[in-house]
Amino acid sequence: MKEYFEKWAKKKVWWDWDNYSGIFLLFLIIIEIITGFSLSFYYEASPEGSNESLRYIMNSLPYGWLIRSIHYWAGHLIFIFLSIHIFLKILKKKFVKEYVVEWSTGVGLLILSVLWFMSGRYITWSQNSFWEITTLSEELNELPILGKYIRLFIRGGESVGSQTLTRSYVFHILFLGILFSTIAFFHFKSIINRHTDTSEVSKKSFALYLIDALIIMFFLFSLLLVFSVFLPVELPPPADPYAVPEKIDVFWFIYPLYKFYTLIPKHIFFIHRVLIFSIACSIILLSFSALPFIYDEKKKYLANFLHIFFLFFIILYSGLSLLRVFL
Amino acid sequence: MNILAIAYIFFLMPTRIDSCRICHGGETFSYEKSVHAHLFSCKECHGGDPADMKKTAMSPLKGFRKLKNKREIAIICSKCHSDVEKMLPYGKFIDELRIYKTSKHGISLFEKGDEKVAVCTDCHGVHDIKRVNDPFSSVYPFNIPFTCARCHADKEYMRDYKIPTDQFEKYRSSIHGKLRLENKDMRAPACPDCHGVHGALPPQTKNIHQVCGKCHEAQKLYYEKSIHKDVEGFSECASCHGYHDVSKPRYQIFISESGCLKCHEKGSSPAKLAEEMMNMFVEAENSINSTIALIEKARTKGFEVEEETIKLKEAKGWIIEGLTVVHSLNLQEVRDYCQNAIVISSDIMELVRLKLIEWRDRRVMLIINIFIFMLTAFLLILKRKSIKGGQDV
Repeated sequence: MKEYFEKWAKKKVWWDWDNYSGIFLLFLIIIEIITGFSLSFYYEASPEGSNESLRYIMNSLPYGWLIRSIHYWAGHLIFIFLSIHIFLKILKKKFVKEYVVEWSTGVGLLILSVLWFMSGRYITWSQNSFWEITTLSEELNELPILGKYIRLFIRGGESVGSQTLTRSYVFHILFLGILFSTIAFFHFKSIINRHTDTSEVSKKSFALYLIDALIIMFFLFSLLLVFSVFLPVELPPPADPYAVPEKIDVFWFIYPLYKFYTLIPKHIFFIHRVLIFSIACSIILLSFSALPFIYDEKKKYLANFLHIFFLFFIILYSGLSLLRVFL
Repeated sequence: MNILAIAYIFFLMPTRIDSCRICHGGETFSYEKSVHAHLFSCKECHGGDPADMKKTAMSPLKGFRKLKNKREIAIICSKCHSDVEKMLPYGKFIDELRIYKTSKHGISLFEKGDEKVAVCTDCHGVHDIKRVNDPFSSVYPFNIPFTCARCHADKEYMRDYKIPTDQFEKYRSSIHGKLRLENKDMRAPACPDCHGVHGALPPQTKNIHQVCGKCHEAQKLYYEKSIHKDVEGFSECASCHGYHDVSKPRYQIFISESGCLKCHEKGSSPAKLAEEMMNMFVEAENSINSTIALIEKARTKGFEVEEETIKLKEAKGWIIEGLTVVHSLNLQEVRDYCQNAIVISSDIMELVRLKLIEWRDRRVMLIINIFIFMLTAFLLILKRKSIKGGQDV
């Protein structure tokens, strides 16, 4: 049965999509960096100027709307292709010990992508982002010992204000950018090292991959243009510290986590839910990144269980996240 | 209840000797929640001797009074409420009794001896009197229409007075009632705002525009310039807008039987003038509605239309002002206002159209770009095939 499945899967074109989705991601990140760099010329990181500068970019700056819309949509597409990428990598068991560097750096890149996206949301300094960062820092404050320091670190002071925005901005364009590039370097280096075959056949395969990558790039550009023209990003309402919104729209990719968090009672035996949630997330992430060490082909039952468990976990998680987008 | 009262006295307030509280537990509890609770005791209103633990505490010899008479109640309340020294710290008026005596209620009570009319305690409560700004007070701005309705909507109670009892129902369904009771909008009037607080009187026919004009000042000024002002028997604002059932005026009022046609014959020159005015407003309103639709269209295409929306408010403002000016019945003036609204609305429409043209250009640009991308991708696919073919060989 298993042999039949693998044989069938190898025949299909989509079987190679674990690599193609990676190329998609690489292009999207390059687009994000280029458009983000362009936007940074006109963006002003202050509570008063943030919304105004975005308004200027969207309405007065020639093609500003296009650059910002591409930046916005590329950010969202990253998470769709990330889900596909992770799913296919697990399906193809690209987490065994042989792939330990790619896998662990990949998990790191996943976490950094989420933080990168969230910091990008915060610097729009909209009503939603203001209250999201307020609530998040307030909840993290409940963590024992470290809580108040984390809160202070996120806010840059006692209250959410200009310091918080400056921090988010520095994180978004500098800190996370450098960290992401460093980890991505090791991720790609490990992939390149695996393919250091200089034979003629390999060179031809490389040329084929390059052409595929170019086709993907043109496809992506078209997709982003269609999104940007027909669904241009709207200017969110500016932050109002005196008006508490009825609800906060959480970033769709972390929505299942958020929903899970809200389902936990506030205190369980005097322990705040944020601690329970943090421990649960840490265990899942650690076991996820340590999968190459846990997974052992010789222990058949455990290996099959882990394979199926993480496969279903990714399907369920991505499905729930996408449901949030469409519902 | 008495056991509770005793427990209250002995365990919570052991130093306070007040014989009234031992027997009148219920009254004591409601009194403790009132605004007067920490200012004075039962004795101030009822007299008697609270230090006397026997029934003789309620002896008339000790100044006890039952306060069954409404006139007595009004006088007892005014003992403090007409005292400058006592009221000064609270910034209260001291002429409530004097004003009350000029009201329908006061005249009936003091001159005709009618004990059914409302006196202080009927509106403010008996022992549990709360501050006017306490949301649980019966005279709190959002509660007062219900308080007035307790008597004025009671057909049985009002039978002798031969006045309608549907005012509350009409008010509740009126624009004023909906705003005050449903939207909790303090700007909308409730009963005392038109009829007076303690000096409650029905506004006379020749005073109605003064009463309505307290809030609708501009309308009042224009009305005073109009020909309607000097028409005998014309019930001012109420003739067109109604009394308690004031509804949001629609343009139909110009041509409806309940509006202008109530007095003017269809086809007559005043009726034609009214129709012309209505047409002007409808035209201006239609122009604004078309602009709104266009703005919405541009908004859904991702364009910033904040400035246009603000400008459109100016156009709407001209219509609102025009609807005020209409009370003067000056056709030329009304035309000017409507024309201003149309001009502004058309200017905005032009601006929005330019944005929609830009959107069309965006789409054209998109099609050209996608065509170039797809063509390049197609050529790349061909190249790929040729390389793959060579590799297979």
